[in-house]
Amino acid sequence: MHDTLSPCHATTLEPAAGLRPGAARLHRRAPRVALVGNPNAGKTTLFNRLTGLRAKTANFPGTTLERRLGRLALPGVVVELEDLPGLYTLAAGNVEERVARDAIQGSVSREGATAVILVLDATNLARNLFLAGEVRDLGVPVLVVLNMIDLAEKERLEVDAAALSRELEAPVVALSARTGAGMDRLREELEAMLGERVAPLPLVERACPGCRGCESAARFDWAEDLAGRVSRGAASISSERTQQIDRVLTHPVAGLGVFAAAMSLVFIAIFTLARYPMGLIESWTADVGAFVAGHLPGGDLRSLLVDGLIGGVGGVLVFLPQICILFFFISLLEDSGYLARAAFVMDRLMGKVGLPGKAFVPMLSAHACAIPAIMSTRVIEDRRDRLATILVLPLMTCSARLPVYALVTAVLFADRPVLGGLSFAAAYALGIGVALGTAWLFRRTIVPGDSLPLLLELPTYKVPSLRNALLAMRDRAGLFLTKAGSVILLIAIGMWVAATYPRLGDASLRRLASSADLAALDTAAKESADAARAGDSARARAIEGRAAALRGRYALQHSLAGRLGKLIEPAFRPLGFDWRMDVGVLTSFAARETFVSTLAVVYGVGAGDEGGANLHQTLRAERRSDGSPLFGLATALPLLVFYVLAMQCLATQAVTRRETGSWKWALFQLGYMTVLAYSAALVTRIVLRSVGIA
Amino acid sequence: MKPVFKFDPAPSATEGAGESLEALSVAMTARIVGVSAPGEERTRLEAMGLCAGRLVEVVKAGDPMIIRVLGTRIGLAAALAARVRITRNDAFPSDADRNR
Repeated sequence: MHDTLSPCHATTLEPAAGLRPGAARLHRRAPRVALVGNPNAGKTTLFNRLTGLRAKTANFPGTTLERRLGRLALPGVVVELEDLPGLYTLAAGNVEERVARDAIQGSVSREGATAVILVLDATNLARNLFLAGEVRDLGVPVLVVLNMIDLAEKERLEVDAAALSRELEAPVVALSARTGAGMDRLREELEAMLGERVAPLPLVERACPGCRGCESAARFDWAEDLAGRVSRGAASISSERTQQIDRVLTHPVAGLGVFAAAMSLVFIAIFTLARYPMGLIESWTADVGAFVAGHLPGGDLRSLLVDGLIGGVGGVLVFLPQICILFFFISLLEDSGYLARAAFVMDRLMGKVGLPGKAFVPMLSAHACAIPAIMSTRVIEDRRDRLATILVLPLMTCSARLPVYALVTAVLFADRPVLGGLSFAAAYALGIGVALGTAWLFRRTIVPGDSLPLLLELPTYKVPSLRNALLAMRDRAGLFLTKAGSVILLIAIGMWVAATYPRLGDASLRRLASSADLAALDTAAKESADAARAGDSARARAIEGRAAALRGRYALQHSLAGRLGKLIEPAFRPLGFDWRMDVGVLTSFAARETFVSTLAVVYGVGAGDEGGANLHQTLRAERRSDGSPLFGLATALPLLVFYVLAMQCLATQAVTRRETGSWKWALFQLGYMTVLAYSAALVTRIVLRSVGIA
Repeated sequence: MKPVFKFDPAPSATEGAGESLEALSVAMTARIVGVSAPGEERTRLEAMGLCAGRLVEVVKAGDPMIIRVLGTRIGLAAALAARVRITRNDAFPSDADRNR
């Protein structure tokens, strides 16, 4: 028996006094069953199989570790199922292990589990049984699931479930969470177990005669020995196949090639596939806005609903397609076993700047959008590695920067497309280069240390589960909408208030506007009235539209945002920005893509589709008071550099806060990126001016 | 997470002696005799089965390398492999071979 084989392993696993599991604890409320198992043992697939769409995701209190809860209705009892982090051991003392032990045994703040479902990979018993031994010793009723039995059968690997049950002193159910075979037996056994009020196993308390390190060794001996006794054969076919695939995928050259190809495919998929739903969401938002605008009298309420609320909701929803697609692919890659190989081949390269190999996936995703990228850093196990990655992710050129890049390059290089393309590429390269450099710097200062040296299981390749991928996607979308979405919406409304109030009255307009503009407004009013009388409503609308654009420019100047723009003008003067660009920079604080539409308003060309080309011409024609062109190279390039590096996305900040667990890091991110963007833009301008470029 | 108590026994004779896992080349098998790493690193290694008494086989050499231990492939940085003390086992067909 295992007592003799592992004489001293139990001492580190004593439950806290007073929290001993026992029958008395049963049925106080819905029984809570914890799902425990190694990573790659198929725990998530089993959880999804048992709870389906009724699962919800939250964090373990006080951590950023994911906790998935779901309800499982058995004929006689409803069970609350809790999916614990995948673990190799309970004894390592990491957050994961602590959280798992608290969930099983209870702690000061939470009740322990009624029972544990222990998921073992039948094709990988020796490794999985180590954890089984530890869980067994906790004294909580255990139901053992021998998962992936279909794969074992295919390999002619026989596992004697009855013998395993005797050895572990717990019921054992062989099943395949992937195909669903054996799930009924699991439900029956679970119900029987909860109904019987199975007496928990006696706690194992043995003295350890002064050795450390022996505990694991002895338990591994026991696990390997037991695995040898209850199983015949080995998973040699899949192992052989995995080995052959790995020869290519972990090859220092070919592996990198495959990795680059795979990541490019994912990246292209995110971009192209997301375009259609994003277009739909944008047009729906516009439709709903137009519908509401058509059914409400003009005024602040209408503006709040249309520009603030509906615009804000649209601004949240528009991120969803990219988030869904990214997590769909990550789940497929992870499930198939490829993600571990990608981390393997990238580890040394990323290690040079102090990031782990796994940071590459988020860094790539950040080129679509920093929000899903930051959410996807959960694949990185070490907290400090994650933090360093999260901090630099928003430096990557996300899709929201593209309208700004497009504007700047169009104004500067309208008839020189090659230069335009080059400056685009340079902007991307700048983002990547600065991100890597910043990561390197952070690993020497505020998040000191190298990335955790690589140590990860390279699981056998499997056909990934579509079901898991879809559920993972749904999970992330839900998290984003509830946690980040609410913040983004609030901010959108806040920005609406700043750009709307105080309202521009006629008196203020007379004070602010130039006499030429005032005359133009008066003429427009008269002309549109004339046109309306003459029955030419199209002409009347066109004239009114131009007048509204001109008025809008002063309305924004008069608003809080406009005044702040004026106020910070001195701060941005060294970069060559005028106050109108400053208003654009300010409104981009919430979301950088608004820069273009703000400029359109503030330069009086009017927002909207036809505003684009118009805005380019206006900006090109704009002169400073000394007659020099406003938007020369020495202004436009610093502006571009500023937008490459600045943290102008409150949605990202909300997600950083959520994923790091504190506003501190979100604020730090904002701070360092602002300083970086400003200094880089300033240096750019000084260099350009010193070589005589205006 | 740092361990609460620090109790690193003085390296025993076996832990200090012998070769490290890093020195093995492809297809070689060896038995681990000890792990000479500080607390946190040692825990990580032991959790993955890199622990005294286990048999390892080198699947792919280099940095990072791939080894097989307890029936699974593990990707391992050379820096960590250097912490794992082994005795070569290539004289006899290993238990790992028989199990596979």
